[in-house]
Amino acid sequence: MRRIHILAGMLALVAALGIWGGLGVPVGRMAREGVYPYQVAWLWLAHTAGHPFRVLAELGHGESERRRLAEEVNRLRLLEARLAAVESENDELRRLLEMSRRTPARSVVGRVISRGGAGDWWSSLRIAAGSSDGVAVNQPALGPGGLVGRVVFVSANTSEILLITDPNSRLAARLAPPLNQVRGVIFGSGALDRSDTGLKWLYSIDPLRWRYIKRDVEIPDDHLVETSGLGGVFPAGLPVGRVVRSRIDPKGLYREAEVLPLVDPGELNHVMILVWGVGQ
Amino acid sequence: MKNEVIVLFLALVLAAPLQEVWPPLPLVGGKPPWLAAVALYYGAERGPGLALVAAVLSGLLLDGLAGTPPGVSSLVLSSMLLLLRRLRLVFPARGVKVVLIGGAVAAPALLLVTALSLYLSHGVFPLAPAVVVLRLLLAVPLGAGAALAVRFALAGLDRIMGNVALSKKKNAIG
Repeated sequence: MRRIHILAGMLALVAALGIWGGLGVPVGRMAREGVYPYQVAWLWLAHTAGHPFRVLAELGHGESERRRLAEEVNRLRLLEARLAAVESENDELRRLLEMSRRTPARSVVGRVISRGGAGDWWSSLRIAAGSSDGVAVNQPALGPGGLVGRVVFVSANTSEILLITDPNSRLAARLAPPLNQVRGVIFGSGALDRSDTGLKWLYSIDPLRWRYIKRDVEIPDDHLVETSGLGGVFPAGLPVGRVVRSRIDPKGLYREAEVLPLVDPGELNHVMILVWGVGQ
Repeated sequence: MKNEVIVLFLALVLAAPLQEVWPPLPLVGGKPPWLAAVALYYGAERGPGLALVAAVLSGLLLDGLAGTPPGVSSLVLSSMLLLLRRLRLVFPARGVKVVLIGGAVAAPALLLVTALSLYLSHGVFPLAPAVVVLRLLLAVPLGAGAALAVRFALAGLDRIMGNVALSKKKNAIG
């Protein structure tokens, strides 16, 4: 019994060190790098093994005469589905390439290997690109069309991206020119008012909350919002989203707006990291 | 013993990427606790030594992958194993029942303690309180389901590897 108490005490000590002693970074790196090859293999298996299984399942139908034709139709359907997937991937990558041409910094593209991490505590993505590719903490992550988030954790082959939709995300933003004097801070979509109804659950993407905007400014709906560069983490001019509506905040001191992100994180398969340092 | 270690290694190697790639539930998020289920299987079916190794390794992997403070999940899972052993002394339930109860209790407990540890270490609560409550409720069936699925998978693997007869004789409760 005494051994159990000693053991419990040791585990409690490790947990305390984990909470306050900064053990999270080395343990996180080791776990992520250790699991990374199996995770990639798992994804590859899920992606490729699905096709033969679907073909086999489809083969069960039809009699001898119709079998060949049915098989042919199934094969063509599979090809069509695969073509649609390749086309969509191609489109996503092409739009990412366009984004990288518009930004002066070097960029790294990584495939999404996990959503939400093992515990799904944060609105995050993990991609297959890490410090060995030049990725570092706080670099901006872009999707096709706009900003997705920033890098918060890096191991040799993986990076974790905190999405701008996470309630804990903050970014300095402004309206796109010619109204680029209108500035504020964008909060992740979890920071909703108590007045919001349960219907918010039905949104595919919750709008971001843009706060601390000058009270006397009129914000046109659908205007583009971009990063202002004032926070020091993101370079200025990265597109974030479009204004849905604006109003004076309940305290009457500032104006606030809802901003719909340009990129739906749930649809992302590839993410581009700008290899950009603070102050550049 | 060597075969048991191989099965444990295989279980962790399969459960860890599954925990990662499994898509979160729509709306409230959350995933089935596959890694915790591995620890529970060893707690319910194996001796204290191997069960403790499984709990510590699963916990550390879970913390490392989830970005939660390392050691917290190990502590919770080890405590759950002790509780499971006590439970088996009081109620003479075996196998499936123990794993089901263990999964239904361990998953919300793990969720609650991890959320608290995140608040202590980061100074912010990662989710809105209402979402945490919903996730706690969902964790009960998710935990029980994952524990049951892992129990059948690992019991089969143990049978193939010839570990079952050996462990029954060697690992009595206590």
